[in-house]
Amino acid sequence: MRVIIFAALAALLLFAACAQQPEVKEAAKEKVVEKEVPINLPDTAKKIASGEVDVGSEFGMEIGQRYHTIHVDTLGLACTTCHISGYADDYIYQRKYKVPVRGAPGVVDRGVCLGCHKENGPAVTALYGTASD
Amino acid sequence: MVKYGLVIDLKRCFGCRSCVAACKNENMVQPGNYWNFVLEYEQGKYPNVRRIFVPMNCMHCENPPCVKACPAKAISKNDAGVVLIDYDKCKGYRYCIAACPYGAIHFIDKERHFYPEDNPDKSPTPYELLPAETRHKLHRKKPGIAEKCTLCWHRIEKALKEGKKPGSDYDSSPACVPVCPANARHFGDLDDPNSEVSKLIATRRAVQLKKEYGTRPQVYYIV
Repeated sequence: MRVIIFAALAALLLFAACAQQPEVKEAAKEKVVEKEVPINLPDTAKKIASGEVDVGSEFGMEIGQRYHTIHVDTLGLACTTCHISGYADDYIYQRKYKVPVRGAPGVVDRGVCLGCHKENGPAVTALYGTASD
Repeated sequence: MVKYGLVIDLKRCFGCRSCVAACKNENMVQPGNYWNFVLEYEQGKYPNVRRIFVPMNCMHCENPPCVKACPAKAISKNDAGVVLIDYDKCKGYRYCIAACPYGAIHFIDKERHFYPEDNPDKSPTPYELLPAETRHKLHRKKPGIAEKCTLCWHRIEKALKEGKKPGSDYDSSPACVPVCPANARHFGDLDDPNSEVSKLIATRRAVQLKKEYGTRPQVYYIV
């Protein structure tokens, strides 16, 4: 009799846990996607460059300085857009043995930067050129 | 015009890191940072496995993203095609580090010394105590700035002043080149079709890394 009661209780708890899972998943999703990316990225980039959008005057990589203010606060990129958990074994990058400073959520794949900062890309600062043969 | 560069033969490199040690010694690179570094990884599946060694330093790109990224305009490319950081102008913003797709630039967050376990008072070694004025300006580094390979510009500059051809002997070549026991590293003028590096590029399978970035590196790899 005790075994039957125990099994019934366990089944009830398991059902309750499963029922709550979608909510937990939704909450986690909301946490990762912090902001919507603006639809007109080139326009926003131009406004940043012209000073129409204030991103502060302090250059630097720390949170609160221009770099992250532009990419996170203004353009609305989530941390996981740029930061990944680790590089592949054959990823060619000299500093791959180093982790970003002060509790950064992970290393950065420069391929993400290339998406916008290429020649004729949406970003105002074209850091990279056209792919060569 | 001259355009100095390197050709590295990956078929000859066996990962001994002589280049790394020579660079550290020549350029007074403090612990934790590397102007020259050897990446390694495995390729293939057992039993057909091989270890790949990729020595990496600044690519001295023809189209350097670090130059464009620096808000302080502290990075420039000189007439010989060498990309250099002006330590007096560098403000330590680290935009260059973010922009470089090769990871060649390092930040000096604080002064670090070699062999701290041998020095109970953690004092610098005599080598590290060399006064700044006795060093070349490219070796007068300080905390709070970015640093990277200079292609041993101090050696090239000296050779040019002495009327020697850079790369013609031990002292006029980047420190990493003549120390390579496998003769895997070659230095020279990429714009001179008769130079050793140009001939290697023309005759061997020499490639540049990450061409999709359009940086046009001046370091080639024979694969």
